[in-house]
Amino acid sequence: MLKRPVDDRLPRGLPAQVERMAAASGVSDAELVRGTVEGDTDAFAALVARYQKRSFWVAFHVLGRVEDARDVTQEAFVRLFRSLDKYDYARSFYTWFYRIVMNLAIDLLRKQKSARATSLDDLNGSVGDTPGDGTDAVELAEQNGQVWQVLGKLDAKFRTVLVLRDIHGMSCREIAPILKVTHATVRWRLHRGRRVFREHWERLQGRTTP
Amino acid sequence: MRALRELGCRRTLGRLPLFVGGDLDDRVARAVSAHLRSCQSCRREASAQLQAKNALADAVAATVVPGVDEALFVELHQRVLERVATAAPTAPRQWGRRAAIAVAAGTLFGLGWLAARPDGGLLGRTPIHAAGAAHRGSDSFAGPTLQPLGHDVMWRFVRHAEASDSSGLGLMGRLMLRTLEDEEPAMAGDLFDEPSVSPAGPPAVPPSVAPAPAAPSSAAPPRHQTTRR
Repeated sequence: MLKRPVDDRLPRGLPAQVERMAAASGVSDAELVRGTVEGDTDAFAALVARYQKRSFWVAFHVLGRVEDARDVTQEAFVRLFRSLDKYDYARSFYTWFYRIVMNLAIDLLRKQKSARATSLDDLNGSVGDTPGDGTDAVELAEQNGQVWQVLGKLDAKFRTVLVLRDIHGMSCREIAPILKVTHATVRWRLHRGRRVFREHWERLQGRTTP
Repeated sequence: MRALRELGCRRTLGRLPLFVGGDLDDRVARAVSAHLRSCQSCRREASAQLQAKNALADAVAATVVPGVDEALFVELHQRVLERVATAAPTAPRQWGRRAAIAVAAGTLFGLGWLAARPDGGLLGRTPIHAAGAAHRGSDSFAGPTLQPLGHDVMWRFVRHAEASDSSGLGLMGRLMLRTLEDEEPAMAGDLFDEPSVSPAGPPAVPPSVAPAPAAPSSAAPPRHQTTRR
């Protein structure tokens, strides 16, 4: 398993009851879903607490804008709540929920792409500097900016797979049901996405380095 | 497990994007590794591919996104719960849309049934003749008996003298719906006949004794009468 570069700790300031439920490893997602369906609002609050950071970061890495990621996350939870009675308890909750998030993010991404091409300015406007100071930090920030620029150039189907696999560390078998495609399709998109990413990235580096 | 044949450069290069992420199955990954040990150019390619892949994850991990902090998540949590508290299990708008779709589908089905029902329907009806085309010279004629919606009415074409088109007939004003003369004539007379016709309904008269033509307007005689004669 790859490292997870996103912070998925519980948010602070939760009511004690909700925090206890969200943090309890003995309480499964399915139990929280069942509690919500039975009218326990704390159970749903615990579900939100468990997944809000992860879903926010996935949406952010696909969309590249904080506001969009926040809106998508919020909408995903509302849709989740409305369809909890259709949840199949035999299946993984997070796969189901991630599918909602990804569908919303991809829809928004396509709308944005049709309205205007995602540019370097958009991504740089969302992503700040890297921590640290001095020349190294500046170079690192510049390099990170290039990475975001390249990611913004990728087609949505490649970007989503790269985000889920290389940033969030999910396996191809986990990604397939989230994107509702076959395992072979995920592998093909990953293969193609990594190649395209490398081509763009090397081209950018060649242009910027003397 | 059957060992994979030794891979050449071309097949190795094609597998590098998945190899660097650990996404090949063990057997293929071992074959790629074996080739890389012996091929320097492929090894260079693998190194470049790995560097690009790591750049993505490293950049994301190292980047601080302005505006994203604990306060954002606390607010997000509250807003989600507020929206959910007011959210209906199913959006009412969806019900409205479903109802509209159901009504539209029902209307289409009804029209389709009327048009194509086995006893003729709209599709089985004799086409309406161009008024005046088949009965030139007579002022009033009964058109062919059609099979309109209720099987109890027929279209009756009455040519009026004040018609101004080339056939001597207007369009809508000259189409009058009449009941079949042999069915419920009284009702037909009440509803559709002109005042000059008997209230009991038009008798089934042969065309030879059809009512005399209405006097044409002296100011503008219909063109068909002048051209035909």
